[in-house]
Amino acid sequence: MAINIRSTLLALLSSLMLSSALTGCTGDSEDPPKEKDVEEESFYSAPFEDGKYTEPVTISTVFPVSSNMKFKNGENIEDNVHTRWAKETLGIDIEYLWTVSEQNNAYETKLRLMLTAGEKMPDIVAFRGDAALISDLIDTGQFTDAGVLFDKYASDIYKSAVAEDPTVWNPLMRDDKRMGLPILENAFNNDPVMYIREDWLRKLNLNAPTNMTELETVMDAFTHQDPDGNGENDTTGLSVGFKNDLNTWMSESGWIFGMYGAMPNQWNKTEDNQLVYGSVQPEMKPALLKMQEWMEKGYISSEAGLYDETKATEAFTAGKSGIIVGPYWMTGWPLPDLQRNVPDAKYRAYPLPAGPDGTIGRHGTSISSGAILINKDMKHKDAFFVYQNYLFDHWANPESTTFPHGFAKGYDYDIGPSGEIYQEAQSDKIPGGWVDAIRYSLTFDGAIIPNLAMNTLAKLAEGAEPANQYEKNLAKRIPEQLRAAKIVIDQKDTVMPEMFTGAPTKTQLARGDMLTRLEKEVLNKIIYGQASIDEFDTFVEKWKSTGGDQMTEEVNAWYQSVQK
Amino acid sequence: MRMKVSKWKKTIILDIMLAPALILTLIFSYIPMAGLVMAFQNYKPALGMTGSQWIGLDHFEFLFSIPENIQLIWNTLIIAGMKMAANLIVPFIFALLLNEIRRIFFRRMVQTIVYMPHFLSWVLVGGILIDLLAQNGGLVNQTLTSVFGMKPIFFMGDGDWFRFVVVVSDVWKEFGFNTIVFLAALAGINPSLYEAAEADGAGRWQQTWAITMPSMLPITIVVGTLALGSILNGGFDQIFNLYNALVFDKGDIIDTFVYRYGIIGGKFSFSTAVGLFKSIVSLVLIVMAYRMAYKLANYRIF
Repeated sequence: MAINIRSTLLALLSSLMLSSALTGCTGDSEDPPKEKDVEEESFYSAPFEDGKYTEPVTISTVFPVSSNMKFKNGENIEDNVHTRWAKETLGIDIEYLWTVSEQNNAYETKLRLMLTAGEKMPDIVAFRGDAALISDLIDTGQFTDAGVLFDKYASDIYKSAVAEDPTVWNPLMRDDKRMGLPILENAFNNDPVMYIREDWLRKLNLNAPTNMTELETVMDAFTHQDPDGNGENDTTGLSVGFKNDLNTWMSESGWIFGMYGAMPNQWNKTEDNQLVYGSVQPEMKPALLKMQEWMEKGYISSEAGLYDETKATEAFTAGKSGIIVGPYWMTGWPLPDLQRNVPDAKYRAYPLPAGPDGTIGRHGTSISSGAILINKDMKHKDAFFVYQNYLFDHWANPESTTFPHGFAKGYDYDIGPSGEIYQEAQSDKIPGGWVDAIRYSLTFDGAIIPNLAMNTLAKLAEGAEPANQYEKNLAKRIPEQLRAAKIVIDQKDTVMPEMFTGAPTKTQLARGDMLTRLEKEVLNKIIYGQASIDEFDTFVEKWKSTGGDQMTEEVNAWYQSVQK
Repeated sequence: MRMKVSKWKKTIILDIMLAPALILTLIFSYIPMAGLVMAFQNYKPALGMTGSQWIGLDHFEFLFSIPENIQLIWNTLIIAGMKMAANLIVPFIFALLLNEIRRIFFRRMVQTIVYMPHFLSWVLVGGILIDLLAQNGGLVNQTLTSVFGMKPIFFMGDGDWFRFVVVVSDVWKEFGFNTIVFLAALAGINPSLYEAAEADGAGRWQQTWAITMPSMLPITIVVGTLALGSILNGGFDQIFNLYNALVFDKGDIIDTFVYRYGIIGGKFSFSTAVGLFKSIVSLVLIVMAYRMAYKLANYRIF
């Protein structure tokens, strides 16, 4: 594992150096001040001056209006502070061919319908979600090689943000061409930490667990020693919910497998650079046995297999369970419910404990959640980069002072009579209420530099003084959230990333559900003690022979193809 | 000749009034049937219905070629069959009982209360059921252990119990609503029949057997025949909210499979093929049941 991380880091570093060398080159050849007049015309597709098109150019697109997106002053997505900003600041007219209110995947459905009807695509399609749809869209052949444009037009900050993890290109590769631009997200955003009831630990005179033995001691005490003091045997040690998956986004149990070097329902990399499906690796066995034992002893609820991620948190927030594992943002939701239900309860974030031989493992967070596709026939393809560069250079860039408090005054911030800043928390003081205007942007969240937010939170948690406005804004978050973020960063070497990010392969499409169903049924029955651990081997055999081997072959073929 | 014209004149107004319904049915029920061709294609959204490759019956073969899918079809038949029987018998008996209540106010109140659950969504009911039936601390199991001294039953995690829960909860949710139709039939029975029977000295039981039951037979046949059409509908939203990996072998049905399988890859063709298969089975069953009803009970809907 450690070797893997090191090699990816190395790859990352070398690609960073490479890209800076490349940008250095292009900077020399394309931006020499003397030749500027000659170069200018060929560089931008329309008259361009001081970061702005002198004659407005148009970007046509489509957009999902999500239910938590709010508008004020009678605005709508076609005409609002963001569209006016794009026109005034950049000389870009944004034209929406259609918009749809995002419920029950309406945006995805509408895009699929567009595909079905063979309609002409807009200049830009930005989509977050199903990799299969992105892949279908690319296969229409209506979109251009975005990689070439990216190399030519993207700003240094934009480039380095994407270069933080070069694997974000993987799902977009077609014959060595980058057919779309990745939409970047915050790194480590969904990586798990362990939350423990601090008051229970103190009451029972225990320390936070750092290894398997200590963890079991704590869970045993939480289960049997009546930590909530109501005289009834009604508490559990650990809250997990694996109705959907073992390795999941909240109330998760992936880390239990991580302690044995396994990570279920994702593709892991082996030492000889092959991808294998985690759920069938032999390391699963001891972890399954542990979970079976924990269920038998009552450390985890006998309903855990029936609970989804949210339902499983209820026992913890109701004060009936002592440990839960999930992302750092659980401190904002749903963990505050604990105080509401049990006023004197106190929880605290802790690092994940180590397994019997000292191994720690957790799932990672994909830093790309979707793609931006650029139409072949788009007239001013550079306009998108002018737009996106600006947001990377000014919105995402922590050094920039262009957006000190938010995107637009009177929308996501306001300034009071004596200069005080009103933001989301003071929503009632902003006329018409707080409205998150950056959510109107073409790529949904403006621009995000993946590794910035969590690292800054971690730095602030260590007591660093906020250096700029960006850091000051982050420092206002609740202290426990900073602490959780720091733990996530401290343990970042334990991440076992999902290595397969391509569109579903042929066998995955044909046999995927049968194999998942088989996997879930057997793993659940083993945990519940309805099947013996020996059935794991039978399951692996059956999984391999009914499509698993073929799937592994296809996934590895994909992996080899993006390695080049 | 003149007769015909005047008849046509007479009905023209009625025909016009019927037209919107006919047109809507045509647009929303018949025209979309053209989309059924997808079931025989390897449908690719980019290529459309006209450009996609024809693959004949491959999707149907696929549905039956996988042993797990045969299990799915059995599960669906068993669950839907049990639901159908229970949803016919329980509302029928309940309507009879309710009809015996003489206090109008009380009867109306009961009727309203029992049909309320029909309007709850399965997301909600599912959440409540999981808590209610929990092994530790669930109300049902607490009662079983403390009052009857039984061992707790893992209702949601044991395949056979799961089917039982699915049927009982579905009946609980729907019987009030299904009762309405029977109550309407009961209200339609000519009261003079009862008066005559009373004059002849028949008791309540005899009246029920000799008057109420035969009068209810036609509507029972109608309801039963129509219900046959849904023999392959196990109730997607219910199962989807209640099931889990432990009961896949006994509780997974065609619809939940199509949902999972279709969602992953946007498989329009396969989903269409399954839909078509279900419709054909329903049609055959309805026609058969209707013929039987005609022969045995001499009852016709059309």
